[in-house]
Amino acid sequence: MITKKTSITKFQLFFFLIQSQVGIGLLSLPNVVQATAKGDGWISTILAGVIVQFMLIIYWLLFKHFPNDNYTKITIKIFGKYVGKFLNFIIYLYFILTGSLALILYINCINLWLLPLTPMWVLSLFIILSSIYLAHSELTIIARFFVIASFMLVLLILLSFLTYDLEKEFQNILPIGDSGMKNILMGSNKSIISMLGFEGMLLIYPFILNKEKGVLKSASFANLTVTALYTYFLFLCLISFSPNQLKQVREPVLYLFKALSYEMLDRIDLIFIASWIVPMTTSIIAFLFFASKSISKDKSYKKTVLLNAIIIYLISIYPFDESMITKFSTYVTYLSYFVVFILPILLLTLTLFIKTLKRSENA
Amino acid sequence: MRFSKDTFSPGQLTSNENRLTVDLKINIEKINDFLCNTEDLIVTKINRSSEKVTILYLDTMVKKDLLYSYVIDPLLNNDSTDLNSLSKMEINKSSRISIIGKRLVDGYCVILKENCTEGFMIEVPDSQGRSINEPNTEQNINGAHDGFIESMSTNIQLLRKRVRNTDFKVEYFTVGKMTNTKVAMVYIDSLANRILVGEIKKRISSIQIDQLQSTGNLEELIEDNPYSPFPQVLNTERPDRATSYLLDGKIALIVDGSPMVSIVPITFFSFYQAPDDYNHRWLIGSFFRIIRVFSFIIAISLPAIYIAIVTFHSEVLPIGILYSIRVSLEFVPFLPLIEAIAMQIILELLKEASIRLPSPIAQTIGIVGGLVIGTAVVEAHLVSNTMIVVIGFTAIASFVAPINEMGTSARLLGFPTMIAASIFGFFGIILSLMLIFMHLSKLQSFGIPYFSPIAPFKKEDLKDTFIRLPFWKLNTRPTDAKPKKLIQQGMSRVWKKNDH
Repeated sequence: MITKKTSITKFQLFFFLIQSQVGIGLLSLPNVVQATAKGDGWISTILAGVIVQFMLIIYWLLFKHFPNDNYTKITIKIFGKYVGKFLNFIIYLYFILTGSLALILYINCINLWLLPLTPMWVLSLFIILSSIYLAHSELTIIARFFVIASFMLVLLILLSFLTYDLEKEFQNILPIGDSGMKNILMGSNKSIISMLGFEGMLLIYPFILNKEKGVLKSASFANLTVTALYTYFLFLCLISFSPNQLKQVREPVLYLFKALSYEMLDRIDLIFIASWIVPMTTSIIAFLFFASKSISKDKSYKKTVLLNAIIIYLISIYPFDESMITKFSTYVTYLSYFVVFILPILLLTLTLFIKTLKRSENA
Repeated sequence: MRFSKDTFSPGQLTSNENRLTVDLKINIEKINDFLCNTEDLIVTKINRSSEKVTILYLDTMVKKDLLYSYVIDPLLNNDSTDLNSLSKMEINKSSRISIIGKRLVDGYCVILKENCTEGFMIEVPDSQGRSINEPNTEQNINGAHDGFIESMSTNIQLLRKRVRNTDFKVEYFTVGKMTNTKVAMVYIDSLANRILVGEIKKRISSIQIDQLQSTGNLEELIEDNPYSPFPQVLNTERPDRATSYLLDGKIALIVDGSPMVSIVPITFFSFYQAPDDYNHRWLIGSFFRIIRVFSFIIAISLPAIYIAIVTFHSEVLPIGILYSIRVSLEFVPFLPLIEAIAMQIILELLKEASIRLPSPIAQTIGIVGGLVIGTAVVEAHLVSNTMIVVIGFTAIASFVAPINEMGTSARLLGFPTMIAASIFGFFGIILSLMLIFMHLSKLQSFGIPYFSPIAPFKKEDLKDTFIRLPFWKLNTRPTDAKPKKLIQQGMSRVWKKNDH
C-alpha cells in the first residue's frame, strides 16, 4: 500500500527524530532548568532522556501490534469511531499548538537577538512559507532535507568547542545531587518539554522501510544523541556561568558565544542564532507534517498542510505577551502529558488486554 | 533494405498520388513538386547503352566526387540493367515520393528509370564540418584535447573510440516536424537502467515540435522541473567527460548540428567535477573539488554576507575592520543593496559584451570595464572599495564551476539572497540558503534525486563528490543512475600485496 516514494530508511528516521526534537528549547534550557535543579541540571536532562527512552519502548511495543497503522488509526481501532475521532482531534490540536508555540518562541528569539525592528508577522510569514515549501512534499524528501540540515547541527557543535577557552568553574555542579530528587525531577519535566518531537515516531512508523528490526535501535540512538547534546550544552553552561547569572540570562547558550571574540570576527552568537534557524525551522516543518498526517488521508495531504500552516501562522501572529506565552506553554505541556505519555500507555495496555481477552475466548 | 525509422503519417502512405508511376516524366514532376520546385534540384538524364535513366539530386547536399565516381561512372560503364548491383554503395529502393523527397534532402541521389515504379537511392552526402578541436568552453590542462563537433556521426565515433565495447548502443530519433533533426541516444546497454532508458525514450518520442535546433532546446523539452534555477541536464563538449558518465550508466543525448552532448540523469555534484581531477594526483584533485564546491556557496552568499554585515550586524566585525569598511562607505550615497546589485549588473554586462565580440575588442572591454570603471567608480565615491573586492571575489567564485551553466545559476541565485540579506540580515541569508537546499533536495533529474549523494545521503558515493579518492579505491559506480552493475573494478593494486 505504501509506495516506496513515501517511505524512509532507518538512517533517515534517526535524523528525522533529531531534527524534530532539537529546536528552540535548547537555547533557553539551562536557564529553565536552573530554576529548580540548579547545579544538578545535567542529571535532569539525562533522566529526561531515560524517560523518553522508556516512552520510545512503549511506542515500539505498541507498533509491534499495529505495524502498518499510525497513531490516529490505532486510536480508532481501539476506541471505536467516535471516541477515536475525538482523541485524534486532541492529538491534532497538540501538534498544531506545539508547532505554533515553537514558532512563537522562535520569532520572539529572532526578534530579541537579530532583528528587533522587523515586525513579527513578516518573520513568521517567511518561516511558515519555507515550511510549507518543504512540508508539502513527500516524507522521503522531508527526511532527505533533515539529513542535510543535520550537517548544520554538527557545525554548531563544532562551534561550541571554541567556548572551551572561556573560564570554567567546575565547582558550580558540586556537590552532585545537592538539589534533591524532587527538584531534579522537576528539571527533567522542563527538559522533556524541549525534547518533544520524538512522539513523531507515532506517526511516521508505518513509513519506515524494513521495520522488522532495528527501528528501536535507530530511535534510541536518536534519543541518545539528543540527550547527549542537551546534557552537553547544559553542562557547558553550568560550568561557564555562575548560578546567579544562569538565573538571569534567558538564552544562556547564546551568551556562551557572545563572550567569544577574535581578530576577524566578533559576536559569534549572532552567527549561531542565525544558523540555529535551520534546526528551528525543521522542528516546525516536523510538527506541521505530524499535524497534517494526523488528520488527513493520503490524497488530501497537500491541502491539509496549507490549511494547518495558515492556522499555525494565525496563532503565531497573535500579539502574545510574556505571561501569555508562559501560560500557553503550560497548556501545551499538559496536552503533551496526555498525547505523548498517557494515551500511548493506555493504548498499549488496552491492546494487551484485548489480546488476552480474545485468547481466553478462543481457548 | 527498408529504413525503419521513417515516421510519416499513414495518410500520406496510402495515398496513390504519392507513389511513383510508370511514366518517368510524371515521376520527375511529382518529385519536383514535392520539393516545391526548388532550384537546386538537379535532374540529369543519362543515356546508357541499354536504357535511359534519370538522376536527381540536390546540388547543395551531395558531394560531386562521390556522385561521379560511385554513381554516374558505374552507370555509364556497366551495361547491366539490374541497378541493384550497380554500385559498391548501399542502395535503397522506394516508390514513395515522400520517402524519396526526404532522402534527397538528406543528401541522397535518386535514380529513376522508364517504366519502373521504384526509385533507387544512393547516399552521396557532402558533410561539411569543422575539424575536431579543443572545446573553448571546457578547456583543461592535462586531459584529452578533442571536443565534440556539429556532426552527429563524428560525435558518436568519438565516444565509440573511447568505449570499444559491443554493449555500446545507439538509438536514433527524429525530432522536429520541419527540421527533421536527428537525435541519438547513446548508452551502455549492460549498465544503463532499463526504466531510465524507457523514460527518456518516452520523453523524446513524445516531443511534438516544428524545430529542434540544439541540445539546449531538447533539454528544456525533457527536463523534470523547468522552473528550477538549476540545470538538470549536463551539456558537455568533452568526449572524455561524456564517456565517463556513460560508464556510470548514464545516457548521452546527441543532437545533430549541436556540439553539445547532453548527459542525463545528472546530479548536482557532477557540475563540479572536471576531467582534470582524474589526471592529477588524487590529493590535488580533491583539493580543487573542495574549492569548487566552496565556490558555489561563496558565489551565492558573499555579497549577501557583506550587505548583512554593513546594514544589520556591524557588531560581528571587530572595531578595526569595521572602521576601515565604514571609511570606505563614508561618501557612498547608495544603499549597500543598490551598490551590490549595480556592480553585479555591470559585471554581467561586461561579460555579455565580451562574449560576442572578437577577442581583441573583448580585451579592450576588459580593460575599460575592469580597470577604468573599477577604479573610477571607487574614486567617484559611487561604490565602496570593499564592495568592489566582494563583487570581484564573487564573480571569480562563480566562474570556477567547470560547467558554466552552474556558475551562472549560482550567480543568479545571489540576487534573491542579496535582497533577503538587505531585508533580514543573517536571518535572510540562512533562510534563502535553507530554501535553496530544500529545493535541491526536492529536485529530481529523470526520477533520480538531484542532490545525491547528500540527499539522500549515501556514504559509499561520497568518495567521488567533495573529494576524489584514489582511482583504485573507486570500486563501485555511483549509485545515482541506478546502474545494472555496481562493481567497476576489482583489486587493481593486487601487485602491491604480491610484492611482500
